[in-house]
Order: sequence, then structure tokens, then C-alpha cells
Amino acid sequence: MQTEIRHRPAFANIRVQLERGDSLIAESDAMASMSSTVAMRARWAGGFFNALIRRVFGQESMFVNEFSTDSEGEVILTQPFPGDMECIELNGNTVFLQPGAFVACEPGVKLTAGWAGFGSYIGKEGLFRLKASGTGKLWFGAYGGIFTREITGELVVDTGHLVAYEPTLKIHMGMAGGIFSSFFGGEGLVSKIRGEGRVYLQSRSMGGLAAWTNAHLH
Amino acid sequence: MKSQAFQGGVFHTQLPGGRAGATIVIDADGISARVPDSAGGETFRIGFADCSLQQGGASGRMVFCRDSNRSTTIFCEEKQFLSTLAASGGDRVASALSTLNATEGGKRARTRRHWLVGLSVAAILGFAGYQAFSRAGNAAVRALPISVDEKMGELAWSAIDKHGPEVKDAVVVGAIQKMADRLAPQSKSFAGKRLAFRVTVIDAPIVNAFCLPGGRIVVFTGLIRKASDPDQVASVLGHEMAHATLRHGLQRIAQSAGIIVALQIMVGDLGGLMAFVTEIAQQGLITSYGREQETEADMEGLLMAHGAGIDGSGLERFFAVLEQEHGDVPEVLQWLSTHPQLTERRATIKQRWKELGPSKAVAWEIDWEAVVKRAGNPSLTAEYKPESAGVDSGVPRADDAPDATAP
Repeated sequence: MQTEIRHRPAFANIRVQLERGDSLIAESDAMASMSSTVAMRARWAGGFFNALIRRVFGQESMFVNEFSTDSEGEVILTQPFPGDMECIELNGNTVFLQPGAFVACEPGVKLTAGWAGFGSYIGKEGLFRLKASGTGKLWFGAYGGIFTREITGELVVDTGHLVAYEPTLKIHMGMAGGIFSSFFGGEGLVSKIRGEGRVYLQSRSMGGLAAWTNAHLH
Repeated sequence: MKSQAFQGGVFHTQLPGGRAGATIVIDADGISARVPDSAGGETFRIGFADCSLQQGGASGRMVFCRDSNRSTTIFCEEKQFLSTLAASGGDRVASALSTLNATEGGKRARTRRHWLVGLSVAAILGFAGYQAFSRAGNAAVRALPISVDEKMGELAWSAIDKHGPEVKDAVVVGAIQKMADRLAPQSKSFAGKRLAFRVTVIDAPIVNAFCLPGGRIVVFTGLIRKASDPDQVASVLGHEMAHATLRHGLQRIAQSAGIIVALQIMVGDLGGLMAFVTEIAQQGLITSYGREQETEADMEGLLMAHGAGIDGSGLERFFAVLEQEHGDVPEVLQWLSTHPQLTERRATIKQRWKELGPSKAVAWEIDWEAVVKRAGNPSLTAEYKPESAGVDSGVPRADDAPDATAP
């Protein structure tokens, strides 16, 4: 299987060249085009209960699509909003994805929904997160550009900018500064990410865009 | 000692991307982590003597073992990992474990304190917010014209289950209306006007009476038959009429409506309220009052009875009859089941009636025996034709004054 992320960073999409026997799991509605030689089959996203949790708490579809071919063919996958995509290789390790970030993965990657905690919910990062573990490639997307930070200690991240992080990291919700600065400085609540591990962040936040748009509506 | 395997991971600069999942084995000398073949298949090792421990990760339960130069970190979240490490490492990890326990113990205590403070603050803010909202809602209700109560009351009347046919008999309806007419001049006025109290009697074996917002009084024949004298029924009517004049029904609507509809009431937008009133009227929630409202209605009802020359102790005596008859099962009586703390209330009513002093008792021109008899016989239908139902007789109440809260 050959893969390539194209048109980065603003309108990233994934081009996947499937060979005979290859298969790929993708988020429902992620397919922009595919060869007629490729077969698509919808299935529960990690079993019925995981799929239900994904739908109810993660605002994601209960289904994922599996693409496969008996010969060869191409699949183009995209995400519903403008922004970059990232591909990481899992080697038995685990990554947590924020709701809406998952785009696609190889069949060796196991997807389950995991409890993120009330702190995460209060910080608008969702009550559940997607847990991707196993071996294989994993693609996820973001609104805006994606940048990574290796944390050994603490990193402060504004709410709505978190895309993915490793389970070795703990997310605490807190105020950006003192009470006055937090509320009048426009930052309000922030995520304080502590521990050792890698975090993937997006350069724009959907909530920020919504607030900006709302302020300009007449 | 037999070695044990766990699933976890390892951080090391030699690994692709600097990390990989790993199968972790604790043996007699230390911890080994073997990464999958896709990540090179290498094994990383930390001896017990070289291991410092830390707990954390997304779950807070992940254990990290670092070597002294921090080039290798092996981590695992499995439950038995730490206990196996302690058992296998013995004295060699005792110091690291003791540091870990001290740190984690402090963290847990801090977390408990934060939760306690957070929950206390949330509870205080929640209570204060509820009180403020409730007070603001009640103030807004008081500022609405009384015509709103009348509209809401009629809407509720059209929506509720009547539980039986309307009694038209002149003796029964006339007697109850006479009681209401005698109490009405003693009721609170709104900008110089009083509610027009209209009596409806329903033939049903329910010991209940209520007054909807706007002044429609509904009395069930079950209550008439249960009362031993007209003062008892009149006292109950006074209590129910007080709910209407104190606008408890509208307050109940505002409290049940939730923030959006309550805000609509506050800004005087009553359009969206209509459907809601119909809904809660059908559920019987408009006349389901809180303890504070019941006490307030008791006191106001007694005041009205006192001014009207009615023996207000009838309310307490009526309670006594019901209590004596039904003992520990007041829930069979709807009127009582919505009126809690019966014994305490009886004492309070008795005390308050005593404080009000002697009143000029005016005899009833009612044949009570006939009323009770006909209330138990719905086939008697000498139809009641209202003469002055709901008309203010003009007798002023002692504390009558233009209502300061009316708009």
C-alpha cells in the first residue's frame, strides 16, 4: 500500500494506492473518490457499544468504512473542514485522538472509545476520546496546521487546540492565569498537559472560528 | 522467582519516533521491555538498583521506570505491575517505592482537597443561583398584571382532567359560592381590583379542592361529604383562594418552566408560555405547591376567614377529622398528600388563629345537612344560576390598599 498526504497544509487529503489484499479503515464519509476496483464495506466502529459511545459522546459516526481490492485501486480520503493531516506509525503503542480527528488507519490499529474525564468535558475537549492502539499507520486531521510538542514537564494549551496525545500524558484543566487575567485576557480555561510524551496540536480552533463568525453576523 | 510479563511501552532515542509499545518482563534483577519487530525488535533493560519510579499518565495509574541517565523509560498501566515490581525488587526498589508512595499520597490528598473545595463552591453557587433566580422569578410574576393569571387559569382549566361531571345543583353550588363570596372581599386586591372567584363543584369521591390562577375554585363532592360543618369547607376555600391571590400558581409555572420560559415571563413575552401551561396543568403541577407556599396560604386564608366572620379554626378541625380517620395513610387523600407536615401545621394554625383574636362570627344561611346529602346524590339537579358569583361585594379588607406590586 502506497500512501501520500497531498495539498498540505490547508486542504490536505490522503491518496491511498491499494494493492491486491490491502485494506484500509476510514471514517464514515471520509472518502472523496475511489477506483471502481475498490470495494467499500461499512462496519461498526470498534463494536456496537464503542460505536454507540463514539456517536453519543464523540459526535462521530457509529460506522467506519473498510476499503479493499482484489486487484489494485486508489482511494482519496479527506476531512470535512480545511486543515492539515498527519500520519503516524503505531508500534504497539497507543495514541488518544480528540473527537472528530480520526480519518483512517490500517487494519492492525484497534479503535476504542475511552473515558476522558469531566475535566476534559468542562474544557470543551469532550467526555470521551478515541483510543488508537496496535500496529500500523494512523491518519488524523486537524483544523488549520498541525504541530507537535515533546513534553517533559508541563505544556499549557488553549482549549480547542488539542488534536492527539499519548497516554503517558495527563490533561488537567485550569485557568490561564489568575481569575482576572483568565477571564478578561480572553483565554478562560486552558489544558495543562503534564508528563512525558508527544502531543499534536492544531493551529486554529473550531470554537474560535465559530465565535469570530458569530460576532460578525448581523 | 518466576518472571511476569505485562503490556506497556518504552521511550528511547534509538526507536523510530522515540517510542514503541513493548512487552515488559520483570525478572529477579530488573525490568526488560521488548519492542515489536516492526519497531526493531530490540530489548531495553533497567536494573532495579538503577530504577527511579513515577506515577502519572492520562489515567493517573501509569507507572514509569527511568534509568539514572534518563535515556530509557519503561512504562506500564497494568494493575499488578507495581506490586510485582515491589515483590521482585525487594530492598533494591524500596527507596524508589517509598518516594513514589510519598509523592502520590500527597497528590491524592491535594486532589481530595481540590474536589472538596470545588464541590463546596459549586454547591454554594448552585444554591445562591437558585435562590436568586427564584426570587427574580417571583418578583417578575408579581409585576405581571392579574389578567395573566386569569388567562393561565382558564387555559389550565381547559387542559386538566376534571375527574368527574360538574355538579349543577343549586343547593350545593350555591352554598359553596356563598362561602367564596363571603371570603372574596377579604382577599388581596390588585390595583384596587379583586379576583372574581367562581366556584365549580365536581362530583368525584376525592377529598380535594383547589383554586386555579385567576380565581376558578374547584371543589370535589368528596371534600364536602367529609366536612362536618360549613366552616371547615369555608376555611379550606380560604386557604385555596389565598394560593390564587398570592399568585402561587404563576410562581409554580415560572419555577417549572426552566430558564428560557421564565425569562420570557420576565420580559412579558407570554406567547411560548401557553403550550407549557397546558402541559404542566395536565400533569397537575400548577396546584402542587411547596411547603413555604402552603404555610403562606394557611396564614393568608386564616386572615381572610377572620375578616369574613368565619371560624378559621375549621381548617385545623378539618385536618383533625382527616388525620383521625386515616391515621398513617394520608396519601389516600389528595388534598393532604399535597400538604405536608400535618401535625405541625395543625399546631401552627391553632396558634395563629388564637393570635388573631376573637372574630365576629356570622352565622351561615346554609342548610349544611341538605348540602351534604345532595352532594352525595348527583341525580338531584336543581340547576344553580349564579347571581353574584365572583362579584366583589365591596366590603373592604382591613389592610386594603392599592397593591404596591401591581403594575
